[in-house]
Amino acid sequence: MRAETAVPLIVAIPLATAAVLAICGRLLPRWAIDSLAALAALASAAAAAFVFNASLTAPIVYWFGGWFPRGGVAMGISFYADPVSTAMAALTSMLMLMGFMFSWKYFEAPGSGYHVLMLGLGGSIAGMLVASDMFNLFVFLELSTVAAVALSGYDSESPGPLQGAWNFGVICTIGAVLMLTGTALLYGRTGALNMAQVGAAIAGQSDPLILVAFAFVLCGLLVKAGVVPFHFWLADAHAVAATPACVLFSGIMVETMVVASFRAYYTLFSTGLGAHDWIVRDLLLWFGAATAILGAVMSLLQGHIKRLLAYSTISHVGLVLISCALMESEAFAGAMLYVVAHGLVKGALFLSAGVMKQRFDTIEESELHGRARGWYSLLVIYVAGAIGLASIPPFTTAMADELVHSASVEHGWHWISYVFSFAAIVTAGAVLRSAGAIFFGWGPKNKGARGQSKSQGGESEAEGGGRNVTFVMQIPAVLLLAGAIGLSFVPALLYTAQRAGADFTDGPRVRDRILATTHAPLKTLEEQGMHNKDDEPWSEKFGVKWAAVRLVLAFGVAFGALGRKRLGIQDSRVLRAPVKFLRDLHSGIVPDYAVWLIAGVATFAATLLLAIRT
Amino acid sequence: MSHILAFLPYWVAAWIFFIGLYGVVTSRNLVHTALCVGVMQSSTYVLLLSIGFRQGGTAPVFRGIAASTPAVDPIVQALVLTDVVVETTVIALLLAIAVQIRDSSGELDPEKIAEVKG
Repeated sequence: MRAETAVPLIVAIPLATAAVLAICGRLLPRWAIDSLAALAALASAAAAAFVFNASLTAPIVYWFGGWFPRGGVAMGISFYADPVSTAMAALTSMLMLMGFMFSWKYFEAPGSGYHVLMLGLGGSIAGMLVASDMFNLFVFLELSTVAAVALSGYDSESPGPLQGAWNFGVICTIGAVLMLTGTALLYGRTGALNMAQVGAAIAGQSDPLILVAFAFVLCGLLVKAGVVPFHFWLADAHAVAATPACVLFSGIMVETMVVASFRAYYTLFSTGLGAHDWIVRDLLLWFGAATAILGAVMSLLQGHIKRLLAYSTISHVGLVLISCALMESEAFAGAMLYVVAHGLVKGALFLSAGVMKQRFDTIEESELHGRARGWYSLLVIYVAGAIGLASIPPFTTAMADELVHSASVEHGWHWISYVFSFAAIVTAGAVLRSAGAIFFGWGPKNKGARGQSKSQGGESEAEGGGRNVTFVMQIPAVLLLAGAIGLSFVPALLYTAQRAGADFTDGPRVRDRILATTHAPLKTLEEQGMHNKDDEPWSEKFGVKWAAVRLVLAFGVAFGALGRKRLGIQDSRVLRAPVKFLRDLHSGIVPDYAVWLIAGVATFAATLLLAIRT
Repeated sequence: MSHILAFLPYWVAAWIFFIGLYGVVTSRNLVHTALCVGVMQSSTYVLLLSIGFRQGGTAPVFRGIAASTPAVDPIVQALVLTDVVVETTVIALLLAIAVQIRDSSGELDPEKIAEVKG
């Protein structure tokens, strides 16, 4: 099989299987649905891996129906598969597979609704990754929103989950409308929808219309990436969604939005903005830094484990945005490596939260307090996940972190390393704190917590699902963690990431590949005069010195939070007001979120216009 | 005058967008919110169609007329059609969620169902 024919299969296999399952789901027994869905995920992963391997020589452009561009004009619709997009697509499929393995015992409900939605979400995420056409990007964006919203409202009769689904649906739809408006403006100016062609048409122009379109497209995508101030829906949706859905949301969906917005930036806008790209860089750096810091602080304030993990995702998306926004190929390579490693780690953490939920029927730290004593297998998984979040070797997050660190220091952006470390330390500290409370019963028991009386009595009969069931459910989490560690021992990992990053950030080259069908190969590092990071010793690659500091500080944060009563932090006057302010900000109602959304878009667009036009 | 008229559809699109946004921001009822989101979405239909409009153009069906006859842009019409399908799905989903919320809690006020926050 030629690699070219496999490109659409990455997207088509999950979507087609979803359709088949939707039609004959009622006729099939549960095991058949489970295995069909898992098989589809596996097949899509295989297709992605196959194309990834081929794209290492030269990225592949697939034109639907053989409508190749004529004379530099795109006639048809194309998919663009390069190492970055296919690696992400493979990650999507693997996370989907782990979700299916986990849900084998998680959902008792008959039917195939859940499988259809998961496959629909996975397929549309893969679609967003390979789309090289603005309208396709919009359609896949909306498709993934629909599937994800339905998933976060799945498996529930209480208003909680539905409120999360509602906030998610409304806010992300507004984002999609913005993105489509931007696309329409670009079409009106250039008469093209293909990213490469629009990019070629607006090269060297930076009039207000294009800037507004740029702001709309970028903000529309960043709304779904959960970037501050668009992040509110994300924690609500994650807190309530079913666990396997959370794995996809946190592991790949939100990161895909950042990748897609930078695909649009490099292919489409970068030459149009010309020498003004530093304004975009500064703006996105600020947005990213705010996201990383606010997400980390909020995650420390959470008592609901999934919500805690969701805020940590927000924080880490901020880190990914920062590293992409540096507009430097090595930092970008680090960001992509970080997305993969973080997706695996965060998936494992969500799955272990799901195991707790299955066994104790609650996910509130205060209700779980000390109840998981002696459950060492889960403790190891959970703490290992926290260490992965803190970017400690041998987790691949450490390598990615170091790649971004060295790139940012090289360009004089020293503060970025501090933001990275802060986010890593605080989010890992938050997870470790909850581990201390849940597995050891350390720290104060919150008196005012909901359902406290319920968990006090009858601890043994309240447990849903025996150890046998929950043991099987831990296997996918272990596999994900093994992946997050094993990845760093893959030969030539950094070399591949550097090459892929350098190619992704080379907008004109990507455009030529799509429009002129040049099949331009991926450049080697020698051709670009870059230094191969794979040749460095392990301690350099992992940044061991910083990692040790991070590890100590993460445990420090965790113990500080556990001993907050004894240290007098809990009731301190200084902290009470800002904490209350932050909590009130995340009010859980859509009107507030919509105001923040539009304020964010207005800030972005206005700053861009003012800075470039004056 | 003709200059202003030429830009009128764009102002209409912007107005629809902002009136829908105003509705979402001030909404105290979930069904109302869903419909306001629908209004926001319709701004994209107007925008797309006005981008593809050509003064004096016919429908883009070249059967029995010369291929050089001016016609409105068929691509935006296809886009709007797709857009309508996509957005209808979203609205249907939102309304279904609103029904579920009402069934389970008896409330449609976003502030009263806000269980997850902080």
